[in-house]
Amino acid sequence: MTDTSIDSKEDQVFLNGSSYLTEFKPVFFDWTAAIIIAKKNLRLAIRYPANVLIWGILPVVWFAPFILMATAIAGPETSVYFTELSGFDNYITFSIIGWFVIMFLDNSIWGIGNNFRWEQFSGTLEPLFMAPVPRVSLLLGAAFSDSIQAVFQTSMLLGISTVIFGSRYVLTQILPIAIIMLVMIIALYGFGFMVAGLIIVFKDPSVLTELVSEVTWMISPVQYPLAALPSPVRFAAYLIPTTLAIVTIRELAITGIMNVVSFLTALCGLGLIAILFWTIGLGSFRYAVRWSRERGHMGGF
Amino acid sequence: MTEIKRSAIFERMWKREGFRAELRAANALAIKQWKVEFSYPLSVLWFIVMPILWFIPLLITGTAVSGGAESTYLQGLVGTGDWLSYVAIGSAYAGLSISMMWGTGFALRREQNVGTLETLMTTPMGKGTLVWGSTLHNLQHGGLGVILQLCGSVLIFGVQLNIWGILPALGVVALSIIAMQGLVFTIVCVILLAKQAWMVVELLSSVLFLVAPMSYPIAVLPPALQYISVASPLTWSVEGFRGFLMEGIGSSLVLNAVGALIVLDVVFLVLGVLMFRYTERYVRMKGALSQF
Amino acid sequence: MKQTTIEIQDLSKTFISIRRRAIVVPVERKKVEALKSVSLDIPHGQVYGLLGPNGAGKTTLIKCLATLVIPTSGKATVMGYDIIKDPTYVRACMGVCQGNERSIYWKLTARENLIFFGKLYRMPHNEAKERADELLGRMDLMEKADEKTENLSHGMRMKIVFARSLLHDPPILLFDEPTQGLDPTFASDLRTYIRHELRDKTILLTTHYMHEADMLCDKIALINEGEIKSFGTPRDLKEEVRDYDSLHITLVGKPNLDAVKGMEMVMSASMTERNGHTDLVVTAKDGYKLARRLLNMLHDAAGVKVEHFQVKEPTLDDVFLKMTGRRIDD
Repeated sequence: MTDTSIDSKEDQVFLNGSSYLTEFKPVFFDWTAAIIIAKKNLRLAIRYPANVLIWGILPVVWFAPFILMATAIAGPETSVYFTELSGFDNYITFSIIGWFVIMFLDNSIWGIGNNFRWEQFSGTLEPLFMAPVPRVSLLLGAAFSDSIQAVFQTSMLLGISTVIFGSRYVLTQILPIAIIMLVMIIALYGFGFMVAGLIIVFKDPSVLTELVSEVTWMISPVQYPLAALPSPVRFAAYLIPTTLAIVTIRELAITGIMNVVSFLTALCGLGLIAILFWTIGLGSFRYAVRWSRERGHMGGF
Repeated sequence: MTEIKRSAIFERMWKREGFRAELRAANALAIKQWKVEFSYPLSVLWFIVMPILWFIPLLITGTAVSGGAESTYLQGLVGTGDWLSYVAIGSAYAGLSISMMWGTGFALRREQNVGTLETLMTTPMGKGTLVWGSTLHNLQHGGLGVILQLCGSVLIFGVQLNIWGILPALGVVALSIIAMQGLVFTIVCVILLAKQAWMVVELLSSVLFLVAPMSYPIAVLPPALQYISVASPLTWSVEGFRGFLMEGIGSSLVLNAVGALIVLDVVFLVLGVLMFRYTERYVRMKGALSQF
Repeated sequence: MKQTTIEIQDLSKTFISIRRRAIVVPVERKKVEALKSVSLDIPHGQVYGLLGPNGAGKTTLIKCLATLVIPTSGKATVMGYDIIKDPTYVRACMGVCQGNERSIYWKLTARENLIFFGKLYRMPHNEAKERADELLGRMDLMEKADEKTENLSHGMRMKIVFARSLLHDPPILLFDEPTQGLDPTFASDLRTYIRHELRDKTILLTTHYMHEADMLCDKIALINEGEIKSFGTPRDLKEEVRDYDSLHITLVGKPNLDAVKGMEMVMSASMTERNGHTDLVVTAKDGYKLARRLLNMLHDAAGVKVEHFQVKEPTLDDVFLKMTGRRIDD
């Protein structure tokens, strides 16, 4: 067997002044690296002043056509049919919550996965992957920075929408809402890892990401209640972490009533989804990286 | 030109200057883009399912708020209660506009990303040909998307189209391309000049789509936005396109749309081309063609 | 007298970049003079080289001529067409090969790439295909013609990039670092092709490989910090720094060093011993004149046998060092 220990005189001389190498031990997860990546991404985001557009104005511009369409079809007042179907008597207040939550999903689809695509284009993906840190740390770093941006973005959406449309929410239930959001974000990280893996293999993000984005958007109860979907689709909708969160947060923020049993059920459901998505997400990301390395496609377009 | 012995190949190239050569170049660019797109396996799937996927959330939302296929409120606003056909045709046209504006607008950025923009700029085609070539591709791409979506809407969701209106609707598409090309040239300018251009373009196109009557009439917009809407070629394009496809050639409102579109064609194309010329020169002045 | 095909007069290019912004308003700008009053005339059928280190201004000059960058001041014409007023004609006159394998489409095959670009050079499909096949054959790429470019080696991709510049058989070629990053065999093939197959073309090439410039160019412009520091044939340029030659001689045995030093024309002489051999280095104003006398003397010396003899001439790098105070590879 070849002796690879670093104990010869030459090796010691060579490594003199670089205790890093003698002390280096691979770790399963590197928090420092994740935070460095997150900071780097946030710093880059701040360097582009036009980001204010994305964070502040665009979500409202995306969201408004749906409200306008609903108004054109059913009139300015919320229809009786909708109230019977959803249990809520204000369509706008109902949809804003949907948009508020779904933006986290949107970020995990477009953010984490495309972050790697962006690194690929700028030529920095290979150097990042050559760094002696676990790749999951890089992923999580990208995810952290996306979550911070999403929190900012959704707060702006909520603020602007309440001003424009005059929607009011119950603030007393903010703690359970925050808990649900936290578990949902953790679950979404798994989802984002999966998308990142797919992007490393399939490369073209515009197609793949839009496909995932459109399908998840279509079956999510953002603009309409789950009852509006056919039952098999409703089951698929529950597999998306945001669905349980949207349904629970709507109840808490609009009615202000906390039903402990349904809250805990939703929380456990989200927890299970989180475990499922992390397992699938990390597994597919690792497989994708391996696949890409075997073919030497890492830096390619 | 300085008299120097030139090869036969070069001589032929030199003599072929003109519209036909530009058309050939534009066509080559369009075909190339199809080849590149189809080399990504998911593109084919996306191309087929996207127009339908895009429409379904609108359909579910409409059903959730109306409870049926007819809307009396819409009847009062535009004279037809068939909201399904109204939204389906409007959103089909939106697909074409998105393909044209985003696809063409970002063509230069894509070339720059893969490293081929400078090479394309060293060929003797007219500078605008690069944009026109991309327009041609996105027209084919978006046009096929419209056909797929409308066929899907008719076959799956029971949308009704007036077949006598198909040909005049294509005429509206042709007219709208001219004004849209003006918008595309503007987008290209933004992309050449702004660092995070996609955000500016996203804002620009989102506002244009917000004020365009794709899935609702402009009567439901706040008055200030209605003024912007009237000045946008998208508004008249979609009104004309939908007018012909829903009511055939008998509608007098459609003629207003066509007239407005012709005026806006001239304004937008002239402005767009002038802006593009100025910007392209400015970027070469800055030497930023490979790094914008 | 040969006709001039590229005329460059006082061409300058200054780039202005924003160093610092206060939110979005630029508050500090930086000026970089990439070209400073460059003048150069290139006659038909000549190969001219621009030799200089990275950032010297070579690529900016090529990009100005290729109409990719508009100069700040000055004038340049290509076959009589002004690069600012008639950019389309200028582009039609020339083929440009940038040493960048990304300048073709990796998702297209070699043949598809060449046919596509052929059409941009106004060729009908069949003619473009014919020409593509002809060039692929010349580049020994026929077997790989229908493989996607992403699956080819770097060298093969560069051959396609090179072939693309020849599609319309232009009288003028601009090569920007054409052999950069190529393995020695590919680089050598490409140089041989330029030397033998493109003899009737007017070529302007940039390189920072001295031997490449030496081998390919009729005349060389040494460029540094945007200025042409020196210009001439490789031989003329070397003459400029030929203050002395050095004679390197490997011997068996040990000659009388003082006798060597005492010879007429010898400026200095030094001797080192190595594995039973002696290395003698002698400097003189004119190495070739001294060589014969020195060899005669060594031949006559008892117990001394000359094994290897060489008069070392100055290299282009030495010229560059003298002109600019820095080496090309710095």
